[in-house]
Amino acid sequence: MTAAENTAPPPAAAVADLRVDFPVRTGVLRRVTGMTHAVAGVSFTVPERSIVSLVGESGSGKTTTGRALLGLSPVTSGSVRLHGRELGELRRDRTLPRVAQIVYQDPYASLNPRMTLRTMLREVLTVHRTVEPGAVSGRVAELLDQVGLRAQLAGRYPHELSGGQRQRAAIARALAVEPRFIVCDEIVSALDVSIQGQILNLIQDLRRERDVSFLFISHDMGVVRHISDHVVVMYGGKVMESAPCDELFAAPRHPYTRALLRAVPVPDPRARPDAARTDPEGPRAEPPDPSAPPPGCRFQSSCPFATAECREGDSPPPAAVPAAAGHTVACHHHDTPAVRAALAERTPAP
Amino acid sequence: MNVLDVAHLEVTHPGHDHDSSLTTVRDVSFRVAAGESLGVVGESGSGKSQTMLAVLGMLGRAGATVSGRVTFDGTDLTALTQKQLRGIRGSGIGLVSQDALSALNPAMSIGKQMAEPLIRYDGHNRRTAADRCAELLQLVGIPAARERLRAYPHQLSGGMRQRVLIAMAISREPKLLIADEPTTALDVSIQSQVLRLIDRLRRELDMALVLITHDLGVVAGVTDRIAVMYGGMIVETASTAELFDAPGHPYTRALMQSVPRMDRKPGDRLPAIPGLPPHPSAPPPGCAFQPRCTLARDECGDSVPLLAEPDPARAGHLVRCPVTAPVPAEGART
Repeated sequence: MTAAENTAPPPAAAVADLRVDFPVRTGVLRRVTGMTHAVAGVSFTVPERSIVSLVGESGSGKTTTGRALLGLSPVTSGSVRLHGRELGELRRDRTLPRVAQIVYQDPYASLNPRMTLRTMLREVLTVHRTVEPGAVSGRVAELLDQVGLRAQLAGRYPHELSGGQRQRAAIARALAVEPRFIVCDEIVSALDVSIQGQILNLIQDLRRERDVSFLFISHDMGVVRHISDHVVVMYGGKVMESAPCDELFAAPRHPYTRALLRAVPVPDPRARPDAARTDPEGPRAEPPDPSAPPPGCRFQSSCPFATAECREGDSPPPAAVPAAAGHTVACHHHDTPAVRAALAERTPAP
Repeated sequence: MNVLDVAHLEVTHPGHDHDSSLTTVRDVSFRVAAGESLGVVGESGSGKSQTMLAVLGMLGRAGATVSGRVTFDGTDLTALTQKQLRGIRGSGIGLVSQDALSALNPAMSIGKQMAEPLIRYDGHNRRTAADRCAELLQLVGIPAARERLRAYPHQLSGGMRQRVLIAMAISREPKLLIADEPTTALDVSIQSQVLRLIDRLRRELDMALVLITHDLGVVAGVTDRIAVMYGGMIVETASTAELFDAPGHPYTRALMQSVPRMDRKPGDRLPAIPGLPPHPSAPPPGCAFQPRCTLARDECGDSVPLLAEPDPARAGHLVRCPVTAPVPAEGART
């Protein structure tokens, strides 16, 4: 995914070797005693008009990465370019909000409880001067319509809305500045399944009709399978695997991706005996401590294929998977016969 | 033999005004046989957790009115005092809740809080209780169990805490384990381990299990039978295989289609269910799902449909829908 296409327009987001470190403070004086490497050298691209998913478990660094794209996490090193322009430059000339926006998991916490939807949207439109003062009311109605909220709801406060409606309102606020790129951080995780589908459909409509690109952060592999063009799998602050969506689910190459996919409960009772036979039930080793990661691969302690090579030096660099465009995997053994046989044994049905 | 028999359970909470009230559970009846595992599936507000709190007699303090009959192991729980109920909880019915961090006492070591009920009710002393706790932690797959007894909840990971909660729930060998969203707060890989653990313990200890969840994937793997709840009512119940093969209620069908699945090729759009679930203060007339249902007819708004067995050949598959499952002439079952 990192191959630059020089003739094409710049991608919505291009992240190269991104690192985010947080200071670890201890003792009464809160002295900095170490650094937590939350994101440890991550690279990926979100092409224009595409939906790229960032998946991983808690502590994988996916949310920190998403926030870093908007300058909300302190970038230690590496580069973030949005639509061809450097993040620092976008922040300096204050155009960042109009290029990229973020929608959070919990709209109840991210919406001002003392503002009605109308006041909230008017404020955004006025501050960013996206429309003429006379056209503000019309634009508010348009935005509500775009996200599927009835016009009568404009006078409501966040607590008067349902969870799904609040999430739509948060999306409307992000759209108000007409950004071309939106980071969605677990936006459907808190919603009931019958409402989840409505929001996912809305995201797809926005991509198709308004040319918005999305970085979709999620832990739900079913949702990711449904919505993404490309998937980036993170573990312990590193990218383990990155592949086009169909390819990743049909032929995962990294042992971590495989473990992740196999752990997802499938709503099909017939899938039961197979999973019970092949997967161990015991607790797996926990992800490495991000402030003192072991040498070598981050997944080594939980990996059934780990060898001495995996426990030394740097973590394995991402390598291109032969004959699979856009598919990279960061594993020393992804191409050894034993691992390939094990991965082929039971991959989820495409 | 039925371990749990719930008949016509109804839960009503007083509203903010004198004349308003919220009915969160409406005429819920179900049975759980010894050693059986029942999944209760529903979205937020469907009444699934309220049902289980009512079964455990834990809604009294909230000022709720509970009517109906709850028979556990031959005893009518609704006739018991709070003190008598405390005896049943733990020894007869174990409970595992979603949020282990708030279910555990943060200021007490794991070993101490695990030992408390054993010493109080089962005649253990400190030493024998500690032995039993270590044994329990081992049973739920916690390595170095002896040392872990001294740990405090915040020193354990989310998955470990959930295992501790399970160990506490089974410590007095209950006949029935109620698990309310036990894996919702966990990462997927930990989730599958905890589910498999619950499944194994149920078989080994011959417990009945009621697993409450919003996730169809979770119940598919570990339950014998499923009850689907919507708007405070059971709208469908069937064996797990039968429910997934031939869902009868329009809500169950819509739910299955609207969940994005990993093992399915993505379509362009999800067949999302339009509208919102009903609020308990203003349930729609007639069938609770009728305002969102694509098959709804005029009569669906007239009266609440009966939970009927549409096909005598599929005994035990009950559906509350007159359109997809018309009531057979000889009479309805509830």
